[in-house]
Amino acid sequence: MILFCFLGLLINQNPTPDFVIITAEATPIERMTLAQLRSLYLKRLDRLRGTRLTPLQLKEDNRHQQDFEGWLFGKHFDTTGHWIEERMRGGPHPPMRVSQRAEMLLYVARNPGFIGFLPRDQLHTVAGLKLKQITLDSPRAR
Amino acid sequence: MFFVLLMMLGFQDGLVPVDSALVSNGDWRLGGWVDLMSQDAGDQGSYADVPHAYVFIDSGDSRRWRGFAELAYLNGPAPLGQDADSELSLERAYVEYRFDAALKLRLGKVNTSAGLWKENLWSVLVDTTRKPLIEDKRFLPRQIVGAELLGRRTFAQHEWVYAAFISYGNEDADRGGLADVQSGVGFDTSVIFYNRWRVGLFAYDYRNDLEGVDQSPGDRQAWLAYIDLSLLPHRLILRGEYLDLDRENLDPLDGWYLKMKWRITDQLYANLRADQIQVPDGHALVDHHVETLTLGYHVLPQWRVRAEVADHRLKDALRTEYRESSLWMGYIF
Repeated sequence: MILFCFLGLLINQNPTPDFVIITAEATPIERMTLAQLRSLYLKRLDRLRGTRLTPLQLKEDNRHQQDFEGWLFGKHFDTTGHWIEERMRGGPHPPMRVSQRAEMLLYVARNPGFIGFLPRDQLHTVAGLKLKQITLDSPRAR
Repeated sequence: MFFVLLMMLGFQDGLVPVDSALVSNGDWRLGGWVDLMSQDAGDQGSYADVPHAYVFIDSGDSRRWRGFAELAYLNGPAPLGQDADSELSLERAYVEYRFDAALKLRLGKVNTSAGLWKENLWSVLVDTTRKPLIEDKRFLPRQIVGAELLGRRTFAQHEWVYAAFISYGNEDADRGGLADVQSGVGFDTSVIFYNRWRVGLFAYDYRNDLEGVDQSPGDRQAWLAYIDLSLLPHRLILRGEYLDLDRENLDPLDGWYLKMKWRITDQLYANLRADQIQVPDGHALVDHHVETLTLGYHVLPQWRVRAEVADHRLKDALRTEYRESSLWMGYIF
């Protein structure tokens, strides 16, 4: 009985949504590893195979942003703490933020080299925006 | 339709959104931190004051060249038998040339890249109020004045982080450290596996030039090995560092610490650390062992509090055991 309850709790936990990474069709990057993606979003990397890449993110309190951080860095990663620490170390600034997903898609579509993210189940909504998906060599996060 | 509306509102090719930093004016950033501490160490005395206040200015990371400067007011508890002494100090001042985000060159006064602990900067960021003994006794110079090349590379799911430096010296010999004046060369390198496990090595070959700073001036060779293991991702962390120091004209010494941190919630954590080092006691070295239990809480990401108890044991020393307890609060602005 206890085992069933435990399994039930595990099953009822909110699953982490799956995300895809998008960029303009003109960006000459087709794939990257998850570690490279993390490094890009932590501003430890800004070029891949000679191409300058600029990550975009949403505002901190945006639910999609929180889901994305959980997917990319792990559920309990302290993103705010990380950027406070980087600021005091003389490290990089956080990636630029936009307030809405639609803005992100527009910036990405109109600026080759910008990258953004989208829940996988929303991919069909961006047809016609001259965007493409970047393949992750190891799509499972963490 | 919504996209069309946004375009009509004036979004243009090449327009770059602006990030909102905590305290910033465009690319420039002004920030710092301050802390309050109340400490009781029995017959070692008590302390209640502002041990640190730091202010820094940073020209930002969007250009090839960057400038960074940090001023500190230091007013920590004095060692037994010494008068408390506060001071204003230029902690860091350097220019940075950025080859790209993964490779930088710094010239000026920088924190020594040495393992996981960075003594002065991290007081407000680390998990404990007491520093590990290998840091507290300051056998390693905490800063260098010279040049430092630092970078990182990503391989598959792993990262390689490295720094190499040449130190010309440091003018802070009067601050009570054992290795404040030095010239030398060193490196720090580590590999992070799967974003969870980090192993690294630091080496520093330097010279103490000032008599009296470390009992006898001479060459020093320091090795520091370290691990940082995320047993449960970002929840349960095991961390340790081991220092081995060869000293010309003096006995070699070594020290270590091992700690376990459990993030009970996103705001609350418990930290248990054991550390040991050999410390000079007259002309001999004695073992100093400390166990430290800390409970920390992040009221806000910028506002942090800690309660801590540390039990000290010194083998073959005049004073063999004592307990230290402290309450601490820090604010980052």
